[in-house]
Amino acid sequence: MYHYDAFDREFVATRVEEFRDQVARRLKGEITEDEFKPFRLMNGLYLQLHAYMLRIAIPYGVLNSKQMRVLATIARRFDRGYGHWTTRQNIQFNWIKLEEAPDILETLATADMHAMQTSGNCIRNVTSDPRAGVAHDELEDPRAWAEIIRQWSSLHPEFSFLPRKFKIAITGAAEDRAATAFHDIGIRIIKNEDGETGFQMFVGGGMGRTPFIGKECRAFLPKEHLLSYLEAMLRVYNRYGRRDNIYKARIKILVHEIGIEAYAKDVEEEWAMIKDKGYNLDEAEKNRILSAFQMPDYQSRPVDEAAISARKAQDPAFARWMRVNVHPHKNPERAVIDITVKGTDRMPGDNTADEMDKLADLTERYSMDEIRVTFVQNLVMPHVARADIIALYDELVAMGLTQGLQEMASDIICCPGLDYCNLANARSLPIAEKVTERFKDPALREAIGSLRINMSGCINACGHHHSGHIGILGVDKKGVEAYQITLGGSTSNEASIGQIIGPAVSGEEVPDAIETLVKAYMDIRDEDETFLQTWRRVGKEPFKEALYGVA
Amino acid sequence: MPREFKPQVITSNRLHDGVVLYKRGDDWTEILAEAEIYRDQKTLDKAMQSAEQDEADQKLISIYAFPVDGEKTIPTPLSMREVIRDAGVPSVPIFNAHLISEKERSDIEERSA
Repeated sequence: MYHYDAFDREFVATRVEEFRDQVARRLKGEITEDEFKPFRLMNGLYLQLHAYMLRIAIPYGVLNSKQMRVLATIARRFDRGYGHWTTRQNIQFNWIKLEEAPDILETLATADMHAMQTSGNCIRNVTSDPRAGVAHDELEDPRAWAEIIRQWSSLHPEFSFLPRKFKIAITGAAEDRAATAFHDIGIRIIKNEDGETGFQMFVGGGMGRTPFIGKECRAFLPKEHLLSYLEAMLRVYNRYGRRDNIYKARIKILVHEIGIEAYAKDVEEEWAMIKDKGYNLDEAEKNRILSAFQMPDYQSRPVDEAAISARKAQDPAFARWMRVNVHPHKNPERAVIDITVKGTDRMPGDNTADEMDKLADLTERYSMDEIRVTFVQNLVMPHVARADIIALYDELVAMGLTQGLQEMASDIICCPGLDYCNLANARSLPIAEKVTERFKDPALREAIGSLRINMSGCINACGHHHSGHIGILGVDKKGVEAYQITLGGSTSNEASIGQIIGPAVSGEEVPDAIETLVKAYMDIRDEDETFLQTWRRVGKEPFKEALYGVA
Repeated sequence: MPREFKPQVITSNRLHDGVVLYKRGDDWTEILAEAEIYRDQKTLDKAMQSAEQDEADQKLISIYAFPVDGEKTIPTPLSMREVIRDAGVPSVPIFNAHLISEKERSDIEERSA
């Protein structure tokens, strides 16, 4: 993974001291809240329902054990003993004191971390495939390019005051696990007809109140031009994106209004003027960053497959976990392990400080000191030797972190909702809790198969309800919480936006409604057909009929 | 026709630590039960002026008023948002569940029913 050099460390340390001075002046009353707010947002500090909230950047979701331990320390020393993995591979803490925020940033800096680019109308933390670098279906590791984009975008003077926030995701795998279709810019590493690798560029995807699937802006971009082309894409947006109406300020609205052809043409014209004028990364700097993402030096660890088979035979829970949460690795002696931070004992994406410390230990011992955070609010250990799988599993069982089955009912993406968030209209966590309880039988979940349930407490869609196979959106109906149900969303290669299937239901009715929809699917599915495949085959009517009865 | 006035409580967050505050007389309290209820527009406006002065003096941020149940003498919020904000914790079990009292939990559950 990438390690800060002296320049990076000084850059972050300077920012900590700058923020310390800004906070001191604010506390002395020398600057007003209106003057201070942009400064605190540039450092990830929001005001939420209960207190200040700090969102910390985890670039493309990658952490080492030292960073995980620092997050545990922050949870313990500055918050209430736990943190929340967010739906963009970051972490947030909910009870932060303004007066302590500079100390927190200083603590983060000891592990080469900060909270920049987690708020405000800038280019936000770049996200990527949580299996980047190790996935068996990967063409090229996207992390180096994510790091290059991160460094290019950090405090980019021209793009620090965009019309609205701007999110970029990049994947290098055949299967899109980075939701690139739902980003302002989505980048897929592909091979062209001549066998060269480069980037397929998408633009204008997003969730929120007006969801869109990203559209192809350029079919193939040679790798050396990535930064100049991104520069051109952002310039066109910065020039024409609306600043008069916050609801129409995202690039998706611009692309929708002028059309992808017109947008792409403007980008090409802008790009033609700058592409050969020093906007791209020089070779030495590119190689410096690329060299940080070499495959680790795996020691050969012969695996006793008979022992794994024997454990599977005597332990159905282990066998199920192996089927669902263990994924193929580029190296056949290794595996990629999904740790679902979900279950009846926790809210989606919440880990305690003690768990973070323990996870840091396991990361060091079993995953070459690297762990990833996913946008579905889970964790991934990317370098586990198959020889260690049973030992790791037993450790995770002891921690209560094997309840969740990845991408199955109860592996719910859920925003904090009205329980924490200033923007929310309705609670989301109690609904996730009830749905998790309803589907707590792991055999039932596996029998249902792949089922992504996503839940948001307001139209801003932090809980990705638009891309849930089943999406739940909390709304306020004259002071009463109500929940709209959508079906058919997906972040896969054939991305789709969920469709509302009927009138909203009450919070208490949501688990029954989901169970009814799942039963309807199980009744009508063809053999081996997933929920999404059945939905795409039969459409809305059978589900609507099951849930609301015949009109 | 003028809209019927709903009794209100004024709230804010303390600047240095973000703690939720409620206005009481010329001062602020962390306890909603101790907050003052403003039962007409004139007293609400006057209290709001005083609150805004505290904001101008850089003591607190994010001032607003929210409606409470006029039938009750103890401030009782009409919105779930303010019920949760008053509890100071989410309405779901969290790892440090001991921080939420039985009464707070039952208030939230009663309100949800």
